[in-house]
Amino acid sequence: MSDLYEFPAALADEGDDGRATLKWAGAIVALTTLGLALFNPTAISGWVDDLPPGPTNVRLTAIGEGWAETADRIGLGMGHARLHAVWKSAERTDWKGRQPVEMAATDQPATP
Amino acid sequence: MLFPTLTFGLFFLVVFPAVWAARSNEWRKLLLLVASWVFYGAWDWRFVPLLIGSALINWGAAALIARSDDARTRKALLIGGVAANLLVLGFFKYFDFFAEQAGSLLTLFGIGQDAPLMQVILPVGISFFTFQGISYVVDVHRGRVPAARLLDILLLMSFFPHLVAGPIVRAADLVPQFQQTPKLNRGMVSMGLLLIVWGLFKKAVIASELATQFVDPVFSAPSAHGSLDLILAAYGYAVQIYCDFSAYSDMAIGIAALLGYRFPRNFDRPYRSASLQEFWRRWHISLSRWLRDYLYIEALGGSRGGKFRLYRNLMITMLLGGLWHGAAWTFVIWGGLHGGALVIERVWATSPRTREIVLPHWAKVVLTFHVVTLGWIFFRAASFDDALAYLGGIVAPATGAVTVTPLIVLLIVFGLAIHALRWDSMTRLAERLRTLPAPALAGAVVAAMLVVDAMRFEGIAPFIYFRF
Repeated sequence: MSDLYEFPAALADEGDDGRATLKWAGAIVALTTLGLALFNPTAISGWVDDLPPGPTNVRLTAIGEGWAETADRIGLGMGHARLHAVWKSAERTDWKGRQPVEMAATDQPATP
Repeated sequence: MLFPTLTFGLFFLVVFPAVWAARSNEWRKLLLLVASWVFYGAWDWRFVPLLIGSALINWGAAALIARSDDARTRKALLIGGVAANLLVLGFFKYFDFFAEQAGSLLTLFGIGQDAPLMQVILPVGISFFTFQGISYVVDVHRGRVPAARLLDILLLMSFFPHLVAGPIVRAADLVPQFQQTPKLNRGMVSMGLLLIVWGLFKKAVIASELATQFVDPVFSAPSAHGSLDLILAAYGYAVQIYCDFSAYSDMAIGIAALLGYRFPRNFDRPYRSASLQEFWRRWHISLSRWLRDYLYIEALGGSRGGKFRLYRNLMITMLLGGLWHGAAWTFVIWGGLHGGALVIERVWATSPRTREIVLPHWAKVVLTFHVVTLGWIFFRAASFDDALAYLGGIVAPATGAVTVTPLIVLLIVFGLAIHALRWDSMTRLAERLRTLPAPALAGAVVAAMLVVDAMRFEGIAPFIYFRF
């Protein structure tokens, strides 16, 4: 334990150029947003599904579902879906390595 | 608006560029203030005026204290300011509890009627922002910080990263940062992103999985489970509450860092503590420091006045610390247990009969962890009777089901094993990440977030500390 490091985000400033750092940070935020939208389309469709009903949200839902279908066709969400299926399988595995039969039967990669 | 949701992600995508594009520091602070009220209003708009009113009271009291030269007037203003904060906290948090207790007492003497409960709604984060307000007024009275401008105090108390569950950031730490134009450096960004992803993992994977798949079912029906389940669920809750609460703190520190502000550390691997005293230096550090500085030392006198007064003050501090978490006897018992253990540690270390008996370090760590876990059983149980029933199931071997799975055991072990990491392991990793080009770092963040999202339980449960 150290009291010397009370502020975790206070790493030494190595003479960063403020404007260049801001560009770098902005690029990271933008690329991360793009990456998540591309590779996790179910998160977007799930989010718009939960929005309260209304004329704008109906359009948003259609866009979200359309994007999820397109991403599904291209296979963008496959990696996420496979990992999710593996995790769900691990969740159900008992001490003898077995899974309940009816649960295991549904243990297919979820459609993104 | 919870941090690990798309709603918050979109909110941050608007706030981040707007704040950094602001023409001046004043505009930046105004934008952050409005964003913070929108963030708070997403829970319940009715409480935004309460937040503003609370900040106004503290700003006004501190400004008057700073202007006055008369010690009596300053003291009266201090008492008035602190009392106003406690009144707000007391009404929203404890009114129903004390009304119910008073009703029960009167009924016991045959003179009571059903107490008229008002079902007061608890504004989220009220315990945090009132404590922040109290510390500001006390610090101005003590001359530790100068009275600040209204905009700075409004933002200090409303700033959305810490608003609903801390850390309790003091004026001395944050107001000077508000007064300067923040500058982003690569270290802050890489550490901020690292803390956000690490917090997401702890909350969405470890805490949520443990809660939904094991801890909640066992605590809701302890009699249906065997002793092994009960013991592991207690360990599981110890890991869950750490991963849940420290995750919020990590994300809060990370989000503030991306906006150019530094928050203090709030957790430091608490389950590696070899004493209760050490535990409270590592657990919810901003609250334990607050209780130490403003209650134990400032109000009660600390260790001045002999050892019995020291023991009394420790007990009072921990009992009130327990009550801070909520109006329930289980929290009082939790506080009493910690206070009692702290007193026993002091007595043990100073008594001529016991001070020579020194346990090995590992034994002290194990003992401390089990005392803390015993406290968590009371903290988690719905009532005192439920906690006793739970403990009864552990002590008298219960014959109920054993439902723990290998994954749950793995998560409990992992949640404890992370306490063995070096204290600066995050810093060292952030130092490496800061050198990466933007596409590489963004790729790493996307990959980590996708893994977390694939492993997380469906939906996001509210953070445990939101109800405090």
